Formats: sequence, structure tokens, C-alpha cells
Amino acid sequence: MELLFTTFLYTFLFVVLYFQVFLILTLVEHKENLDATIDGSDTLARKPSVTIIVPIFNEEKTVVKTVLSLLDLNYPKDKLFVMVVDDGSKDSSWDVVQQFKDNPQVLLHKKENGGKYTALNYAIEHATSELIGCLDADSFVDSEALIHMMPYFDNPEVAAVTPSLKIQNPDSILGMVQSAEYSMGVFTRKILGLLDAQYVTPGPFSIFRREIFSKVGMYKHAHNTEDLEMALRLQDHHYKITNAHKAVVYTVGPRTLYKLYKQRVRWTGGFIQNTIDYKKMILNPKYGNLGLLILPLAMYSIAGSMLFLCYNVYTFATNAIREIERLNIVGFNWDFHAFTFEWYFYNLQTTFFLGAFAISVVLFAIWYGKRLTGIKDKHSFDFVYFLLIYSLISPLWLVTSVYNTIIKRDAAWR
Amino acid sequence: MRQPIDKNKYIITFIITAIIFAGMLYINNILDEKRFGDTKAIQDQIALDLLSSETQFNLLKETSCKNVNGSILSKELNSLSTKLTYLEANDAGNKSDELVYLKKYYSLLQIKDSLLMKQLNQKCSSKPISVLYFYGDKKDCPACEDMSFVLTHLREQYPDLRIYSFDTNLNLSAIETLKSIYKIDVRKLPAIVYNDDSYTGFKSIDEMKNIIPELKKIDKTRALEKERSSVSTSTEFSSTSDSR
Repeated sequence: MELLFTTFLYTFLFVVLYFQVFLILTLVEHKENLDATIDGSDTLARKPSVTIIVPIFNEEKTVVKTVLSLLDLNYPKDKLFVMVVDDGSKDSSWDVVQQFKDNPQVLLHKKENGGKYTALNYAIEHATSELIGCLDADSFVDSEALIHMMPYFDNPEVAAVTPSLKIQNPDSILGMVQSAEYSMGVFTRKILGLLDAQYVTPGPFSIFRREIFSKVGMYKHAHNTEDLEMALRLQDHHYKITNAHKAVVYTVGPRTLYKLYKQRVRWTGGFIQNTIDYKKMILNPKYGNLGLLILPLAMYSIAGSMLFLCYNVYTFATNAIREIERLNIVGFNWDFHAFTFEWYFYNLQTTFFLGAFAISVVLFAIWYGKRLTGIKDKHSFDFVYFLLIYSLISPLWLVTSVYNTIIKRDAAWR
Repeated sequence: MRQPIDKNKYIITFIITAIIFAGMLYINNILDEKRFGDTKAIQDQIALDLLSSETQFNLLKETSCKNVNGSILSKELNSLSTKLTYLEANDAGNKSDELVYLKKYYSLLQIKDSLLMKQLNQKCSSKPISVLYFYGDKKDCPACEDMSFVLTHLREQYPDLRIYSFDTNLNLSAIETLKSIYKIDVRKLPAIVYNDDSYTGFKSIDEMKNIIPELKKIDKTRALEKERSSVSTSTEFSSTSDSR
């Protein structure tokens, strides 16, 4: 048992290390391109017409701010349209958006409630622009975001461009944790983009060519993660998804642990189930780095983390039982458990070094992600919260997602 | 066109990963070596201590006991036992031969120490308390872990108590001899030997105190001292308040 676990642990660490080295090598390989990045404000870039869909469902509090941030985009007014689709809100969202009814840039639609993907499809059917994107009503765009994305569409193979996501005003501990996590996400998404291996086109502000939908089909329910499924479908059809790291979108992260948990159960579960639906890609060299490395690794890391978690719980439980037994026998006494600070007793095992190495790569990714967007980050120490808290809370949704997959249940949206 | 798979990159990544991995294993190995080396050095120190104690004892045999005290016995034994326990718990696997060697050496040192202590007791009628403890592994002796909790606790509470512990699975002839001297039945582990009497099975703290009455005496003296000191502080306090 011990030996089996040790073998597994070392393999797991090796694979994690392999992945990290691969990411860093990719970064080194493309470093020059990243630094001399194409900038949309060079007016040479074409400015095609764009429709941004804002699907709303009971979003009276934030929808106006979202629409205003879109209208504030640095982009020709006759080329930019905002299409608000009220997916049968029960609150006053529909009344609130009426203030835009005389704005020629804003198109208002209302339909029966059918879920986010139906709202998106409804809008895609009604849109006429060359490009189409979406912005959830809890997200806001940086005014330069769109213009940074345009040059990437000069390449006719590109079907979709993803932005960099940041957390809007992370003012709580949970906000800080997510802020660091999103910074790391900026880094990872960029690298995955360079590898042609992005498997999510994030709901907030991924921009697509409209014609793509007639080629690959409309959005699907897709286990409540339609943005993930769409990316996998594009990959399945061998379209390019690229990342515009300087296009920054701010999103309001869940503010309570419970809401974060719900969101992540949806994401993780959606990832697992959609990947199972597209399992033909796994280890299939036809799908390039995505099929050969990224998808298998992501699935492996979920399985690995689960086993790791089981082992930790098992060790913790055995130690706790032992300690209770000890207390039962000798009773509780404070004074004789002095701490000794002798190097001898420090647990400096291989796993410790490898763990330390992995953490430094994570820290590097967070730092680099902050740097990539080119926007000065006020929350430079959010990584501390991330390191302290993330590993404690992520098992919560990991376990539920895996459990949901096993019993074939989709996680609820809200 | 999808970016083609760059085979070389996959291979280079593998090589780099393997180098880092091997590097970490290497560092870990060095530290392990150092740990074992440290333990060995402590054992050598104890061996030297014991030899010097024996010599000192022989020298003093003819003279008075005044100059002989507990300090001539090596004090390093306890620290060594904690370190060995640590090594045993964190044994990476491939070092177990070395560990067995260290444990055997440690057992011999303990036996020598206990013999020296016995001589000292007889000659000088000083009464340090010493206990022999025989244990087995978890499979043969499920109660041994509990017993070791009790003994560790007692050792912490009574620094004068010397516990010599012997792993019955070590396959060491000296331990076998001890076992036959005290008629230790390995099927009835854990076993305790005090004043040449052996007791088998788990013993709670109170039972241990019944076996070793000296511990109760220490408790009594401690209680008395505590009482006296609290009385003296209270009298001090009352005298200061009187003088006001």
C-alpha cells in the first residue's frame, strides 16, 4: 500500500513537473513574440463589425454597468452593437435596460427563459455583424479590450479570440485568492493559445467569427458549461483559438465560499463531462498538443488530485486516531511537548523539494500573468492568500464534481 | 493549420524534467546520508562516553562513591532514541539495512549502559530508576504502540527514569540473551522488566507507578515541595503586606 502510493506520488509529481517545464519552454520559445505583441491601436488593423451579446437573467443590479462598459469601448460606433437578451428575468432587469432603447448601438430582446445557451443562440440568429461575442452581466471590459483583439482576426484560420480575465476589485480574502488564480489563468491561457490547445472560450468576451456558428453549429446545453464545449467543438473542427493577452475583461468573482463552490463544481464537472464527450481527442496526435498533452494531463491531474486527497485524509485520520489514543492513555499535558528546532527533524524529502519547485512555478505564473496584461496590479500580494487558501478549498469542488460525474448529474447554474 | 506536434520539444521537456527530478532525489539522498551519519556520530560519542564511564568506574572502585554520580552515564541516549524513531518513521525504504545496523548498535549501547548503572547502584546504593522494555512490531504486538505512549510520557515526566527499549525482532544475540534471562515470552509482548521482575501486557500509567513505587515517591516529594513553595510565597506576601 505504502509502496504503491509512493510510486503513484512520484509519478504524479513527475507529470506535474513535466507539464510545468513544457509551459515554461513554450514561454521561452515565444518570448520575443510576446514582448513585441501586436497592438490593435495601430490603426492598420481592420475594424470589422462586432455584436456583443449580454444575456441577462435577474441581473438588474449590474447589467447597466456592463452595457455602459461596452459602449465605452474604443471602437467605431457604427461597427459596434450591444445586444441585450433578457432570458425571462423575474426581476426588473428588463425595465432597467429600457434606458438604452433609444441608443442605436443597443438592441434589446426578450425571450422565454431557456438557459444561457438559448439566449446566446437567439442572439446569434438575430445578429448580422461579422464578429460576435458575449459578455456576462457580471463582467466589464477595459475600453481597449476589443481593439487589442482585432489584429488576431487578420489570420483567416482564427475562429475565436479569448481575452485575459481579471477579478474586479478583489476586496476580500476570497477575492484575493481568485485574483491570483485569474492571473495564473492569464498566463496559462496565453501559453495554451500558443500551443493551439485552449479548451475554453470564456463566457466573458471571447469573440467569434459569426460564420463559424453556421459551420460547427450553435451553442449546446453542454453540462452547463457551453463556453467549454464550444471551444472543444472548434478544436474538433481544427479551427484556431488564439488569445489576446492585452485585452482585459474584469469579472465579479463569487463573494461567498458557497457561491464559489457552486461555480467551481459547475466548471470542474463541466470540464470532466465535456472532455468525456470529446474523449476521441485524448491522446490523439491529430489534435496536436491539446490531444497529446493538455487534455490527458488535465484529466490525469484531476484523478491524481483525488487520490492525493484520499491519501491525505487517510493519513490525517490515522494520525488523529493515534493522537486521540495517546491522549486517552496519558491524558492531556501541555508542558512536555517542547518544539525542537533541529534540522534533523525537518522533513526534507524529495516530495518536499518537488513541491517547492512546483509552487515556485505557480508563483512565477501568477507574476507573469500580471505582467502580461500590461495593467498595473494593485494586489501584488494576493498570491499569499492563494497559496494559503486555495489548496484547502479546492478539494471541496473537486470531490463534488467527480461525484456528480459518476452519478451523471449536471451542476446547477446558480 | 493546427500547430504540428514538436517531437523534439516533448523529448527535451522529458530530459529537463528527468534532470530536475534526479537532482531532487540526489539532494534528498545527501540529506539522508547526513542524517544517518549524524546518528552514527552520536552513537560513537555514546560508545566513548560509556568507555570513559567504565574506566572512571574502575578507577573509583577502590575509593568512595562521593565522586560518582549519574552524570557519568551518557545523557545522549534519549536524544538518540528520538532520532532513531524519526528515521524509522521516515525511512525512505532503501536505507532499512543501515537502520537495522544503527538499531542493533543502539541496543548494545543500552545494554552496556544498563549494566554499568546496575554496578553503580550496587556499589554506591544510589537509586536511579531503570526499566527494560521489550517490544515487537505492530503485527505481533498491537498493544506496543499504546505502551510506548505510556513510557514516553513517563520519561518526560520523570527525567531520572531510564528506559532501555529493545526491538525483539532485531535478531541480535545480546537481546536474545536478555530475553532468556528475564524469560520474556514474545507472544505476550509488550514486556517490562523492573528490579529483575518481568511484567507482560499493556500497563497503564497507574499500573506502572505501582510497579515502580519510586515514581510515587517522586510524586509525593514534588507535591510537598509545591506546597512548601506556595506556603513560602504566601508568607512572603503576608510579610510584605504586614510591613506596610
